[in-house]
Amino acid sequence: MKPEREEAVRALARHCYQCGVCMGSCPVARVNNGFHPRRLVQEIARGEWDGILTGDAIWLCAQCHLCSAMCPQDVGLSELIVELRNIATEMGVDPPEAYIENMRQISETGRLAQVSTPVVRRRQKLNLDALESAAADEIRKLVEGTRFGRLLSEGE
Amino acid sequence: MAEYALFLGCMIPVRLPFMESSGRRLLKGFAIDLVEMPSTGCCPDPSLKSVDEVTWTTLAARNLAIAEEMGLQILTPCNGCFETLKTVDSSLKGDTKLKGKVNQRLSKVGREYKGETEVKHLVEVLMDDVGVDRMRAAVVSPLTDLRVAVHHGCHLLRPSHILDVDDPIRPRLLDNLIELTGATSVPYYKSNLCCGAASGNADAETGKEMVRYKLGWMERAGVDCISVVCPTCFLQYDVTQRLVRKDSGDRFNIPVLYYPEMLLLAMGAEPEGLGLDMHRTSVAPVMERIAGGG
Amino acid sequence: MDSDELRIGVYVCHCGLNIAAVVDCPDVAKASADLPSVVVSRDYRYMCSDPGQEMIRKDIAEHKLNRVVVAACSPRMHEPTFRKCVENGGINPFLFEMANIREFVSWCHSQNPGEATEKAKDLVAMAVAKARYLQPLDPLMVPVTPTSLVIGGGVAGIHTALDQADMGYKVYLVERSSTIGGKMAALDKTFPTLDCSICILGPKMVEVSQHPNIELLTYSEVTKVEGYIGNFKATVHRYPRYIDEEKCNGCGECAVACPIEVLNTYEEGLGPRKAVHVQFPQAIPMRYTIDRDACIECYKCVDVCREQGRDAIDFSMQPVDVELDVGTITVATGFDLYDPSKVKSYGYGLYPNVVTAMEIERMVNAAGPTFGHVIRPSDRKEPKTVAFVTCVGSRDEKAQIYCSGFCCMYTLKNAVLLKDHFPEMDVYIIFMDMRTNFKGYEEFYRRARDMGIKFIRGHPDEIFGDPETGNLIISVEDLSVGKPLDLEVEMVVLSQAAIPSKGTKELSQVLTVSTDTSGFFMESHPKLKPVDAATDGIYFAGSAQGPKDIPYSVAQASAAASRSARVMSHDEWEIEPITAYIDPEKCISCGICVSKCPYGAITLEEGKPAEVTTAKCHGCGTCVADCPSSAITQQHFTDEQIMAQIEAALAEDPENKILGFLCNWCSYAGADLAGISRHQFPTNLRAIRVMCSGRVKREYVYEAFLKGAGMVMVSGCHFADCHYISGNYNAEKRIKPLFKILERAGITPERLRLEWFSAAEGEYYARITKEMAGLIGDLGKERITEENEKAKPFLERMMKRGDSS
Repeated sequence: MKPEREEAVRALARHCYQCGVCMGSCPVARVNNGFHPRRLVQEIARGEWDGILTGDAIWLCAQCHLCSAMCPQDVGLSELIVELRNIATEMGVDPPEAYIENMRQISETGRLAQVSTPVVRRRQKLNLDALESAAADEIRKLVEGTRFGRLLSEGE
Repeated sequence: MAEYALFLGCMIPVRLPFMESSGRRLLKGFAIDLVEMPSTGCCPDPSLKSVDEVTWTTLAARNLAIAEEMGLQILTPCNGCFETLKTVDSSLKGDTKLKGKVNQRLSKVGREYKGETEVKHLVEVLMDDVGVDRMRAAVVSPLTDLRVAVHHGCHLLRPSHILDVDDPIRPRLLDNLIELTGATSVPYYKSNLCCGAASGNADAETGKEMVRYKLGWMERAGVDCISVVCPTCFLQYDVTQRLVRKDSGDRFNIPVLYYPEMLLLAMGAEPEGLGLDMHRTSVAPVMERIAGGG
Repeated sequence: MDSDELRIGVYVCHCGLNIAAVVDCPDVAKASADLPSVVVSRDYRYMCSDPGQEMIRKDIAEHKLNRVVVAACSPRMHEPTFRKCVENGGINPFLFEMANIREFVSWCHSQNPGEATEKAKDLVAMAVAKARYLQPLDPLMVPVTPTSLVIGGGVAGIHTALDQADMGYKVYLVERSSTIGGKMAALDKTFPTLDCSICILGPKMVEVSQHPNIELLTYSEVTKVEGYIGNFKATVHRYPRYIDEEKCNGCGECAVACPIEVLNTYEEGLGPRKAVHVQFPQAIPMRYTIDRDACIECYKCVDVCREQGRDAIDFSMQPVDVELDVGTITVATGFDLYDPSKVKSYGYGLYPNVVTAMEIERMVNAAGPTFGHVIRPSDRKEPKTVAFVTCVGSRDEKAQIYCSGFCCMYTLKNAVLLKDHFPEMDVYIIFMDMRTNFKGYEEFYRRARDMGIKFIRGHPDEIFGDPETGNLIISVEDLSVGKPLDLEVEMVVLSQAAIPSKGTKELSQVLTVSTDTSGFFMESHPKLKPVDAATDGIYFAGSAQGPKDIPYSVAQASAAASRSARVMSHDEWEIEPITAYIDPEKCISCGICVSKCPYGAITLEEGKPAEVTTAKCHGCGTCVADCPSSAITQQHFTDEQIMAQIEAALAEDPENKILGFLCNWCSYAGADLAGISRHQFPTNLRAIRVMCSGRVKREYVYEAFLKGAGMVMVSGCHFADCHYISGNYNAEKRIKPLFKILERAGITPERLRLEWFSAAEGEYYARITKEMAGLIGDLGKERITEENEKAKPFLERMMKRGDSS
């Protein structure tokens, strides 16, 4: 990782004074000991990156943005986590399987969910029009050559 | 008379068609015209922002460009689509460099994002275009005695400086909407917390525990049902709740309703026509409660 | 003065390593030796020290110097020191000029020693250029009125007034509420000794009312202040009590008879008072007041007062304006408490059992609205569990960024009082840090722990009120174990932030003093002049200058009394003679200067040239800049001096330079602060100090571009904060049209900047300097030179016209 990028990420974390409001408001930390946003910010601020980018923890965040809304020092925690995830995938770390599944669905059908016979039947029952096909081909064209596209083709 | 380009997203039309039909019916009843958007795809799902932020932005901009071609503002009934589309719209409107980069990519499919549309959530349109008074006046069978746990969902409210829908920490929007139907919005601890769907993408167990945590506090407050305005939250409470029930000794059987369904019921709609039987967690207790009180 | 007669001495200070670590001082001294009229040029470690000053005095004698330039720290630091030094050496103190190569160079360009040294050379050259045109000036002596005005009657105001009165000065103590005492009168006990608050304050309040030298004006506000040190004229607006203070004796029968009850703000709205009332039983003066908003004019009070034989009530009373002549003013207006309902996640105002620390104080107080019982507002039952939450609205980027200083201690105090009165109560304190730094404070913290108060280190994200029980659930991460906690308690007490007292902004404009970025009054120097305002003759005491506890407030109160006595103990006080005078030959009697002067210091009689009353002139220079016939001169800031500085600044490589005009009170001070705070930014700016942005003539801007400048910046105070009231408005009116004018001449309008920033905005100054340097870089030397060339004929025409209106 380029030093400027690492510095930019650390700068996001520096103002934290470890009050724990993020922990108190975090829905994930309430139920999973493996996710500790306050400790994460401290490690980033100190430059102790070991294991953060390759670990599972950063993918547990629900991106609910409560921590960012509450933080008295305006540390953009949820934005920080998105940045860490982007850096990780850039480095070649695989996102969780479900993410890749979603990406595959979108790339193949244009949608997150399959239109199957029960789906068609239920729509008819409610007097809803049949579903158009989604623009999968446009999406595929735009995804080609991007990290999104590469992750998909690597998976295949 | 207001007119919007309808962006349904993926989850509602495919997995939860009763949300689509009740949404359409409610808006039609208040003279809000919905125009179909051709060739849209997934918004795309907010999770993609974490994997490839620029591509996520590009795919969202493509959807926005379609609405711009139609000359209309977007109405979406899904929190996730709302956050994706509005956040991308806002960031492209404020960053000409990024806009240039995205348009360069979009030109590959013959589209251009110009920054000419706006994105609204269905409940925003209800509040702003229809108004509390009109909705209240349309209520003929108030849902008296119904105790509701309101769940706004994260992506409707936050990040608030971009979405600007309601206070990110003490929102009242959905509570007000519930109360005008005659039902009671019951305050419960940690009502702000996420339903857990997004974390479930990384670890199913965590997602399940997050729903269990919320259900626990709702149960303590004593509610008859949950009200949501997002398909993903809906699935967490409707489907994942069943998984929670399985391993907690059959505890937690709180039905969940999509707000338009509730307002339609209060406006006198017949339950059969709403597709309530398609909910995985039975809404029978709610119907009993309403019938008793209304 | 004939240039042969000029003999200038230049002294470049190392300031230890403060300057020398970055600027090559010997090199600067060497280069300065070649400047015109410089006969001595030295560098030395500490110019302000005894040997340093001695060096100057010796050189004055030996080399017959008649001008001295010292390149060192900011003139706002040591100009007075060196003026005294040269005076002792035998030359007029106004034949001295300083170059600021510390705050403006070494401290803010520490990564760039090469450029910094060149900049230092430029600044010295500019100072020498100005020095060549300096004239000897005699200070103006003004009489001093040995009377003090103290604004605010809390513990600080009371102590300043008593000290000044004991020293023999007449004191007017003005307090806007109907009694003195302030916040301290509402406290129950004070930390760390747990003295009864009103018991220690009460006697002082009585002393104030009985002191022969103190005149107490309560229910009054200062609405206007004119004048200057030693000679202020203050207008005090006295609101009507509808009760004659002379006739009333405080018996209270009117209140007994009054049928109207409203919430008493003194009791934090927890208890009632009548429409006719005193705030609390120990009120001084012990005179009743009628709250006309609540009063229904039933006249029962009138009847009863007549029966008593006093007939003190008078509904026809009108507000009265009183004018006071005073020599010094002390501002002791205290603080207010932040509205905790603004911290939405804590539910104050939403849940009845979330209360504030002041509310608990009043409850615990035996004479308070609940007679010492602590009860939950929802059911009036005594809570079994209470949690105190600190830092509510403090240390918060979304509320107040600063720490309010005394909340940790008063939280401990309130918790100790609860545990003492109700030993069975479970008391929690939820805190991020425990700030207990003064005498006896850490010991008090230990005492709190000893009493079994439970401490949870953490900061709550949410407080939820259970509608059935009225209990509160506090969501907080217990930092000691690193796990989130849901703490259920029966009552929550919030320690809210201290904020500037209501009306601080308005009063700061009335007094023409500055407020800092947090809204409190701003002291002249944070270390060495903590109770002086930058405006001479005005002092601060107590929380008006920043939240502080009682001992600190009292200490400041005595300090302010001492500082003001410094002035009041003299019959005369020296005023800097940087005033304006009008050349009667050049004056065309147009009257523009009369209208521009905010002090009414200029008079124009029919058929005569205008005249400045020197004693009234504050030295802003606005009249000078707006005079269409250039008939007015400001001493020590003349046109020649300023033009010489412009020329010297832009002698070399002008396209790369930003010529800045900085006003003494705000922008120059803000730039100083940027250096003091060690912000780092590019070296392009060459600053010319003026007293006020109003002094800046259009010609200076034309001249700068004619001399090849890359950019010009004119800066001053924020509107409504101008030290000279309207100088910056006039500056804006004068300079703003230049953007279009310059554009027509072919100059990119962004190369002129008008900036308004305060003495507290060092970071802002650093940022805009970076921006401006960036623009110069983006435009490039070639384009700048081209534009300047193209604009030359136009600008020369504008100069000839003498356009200055």
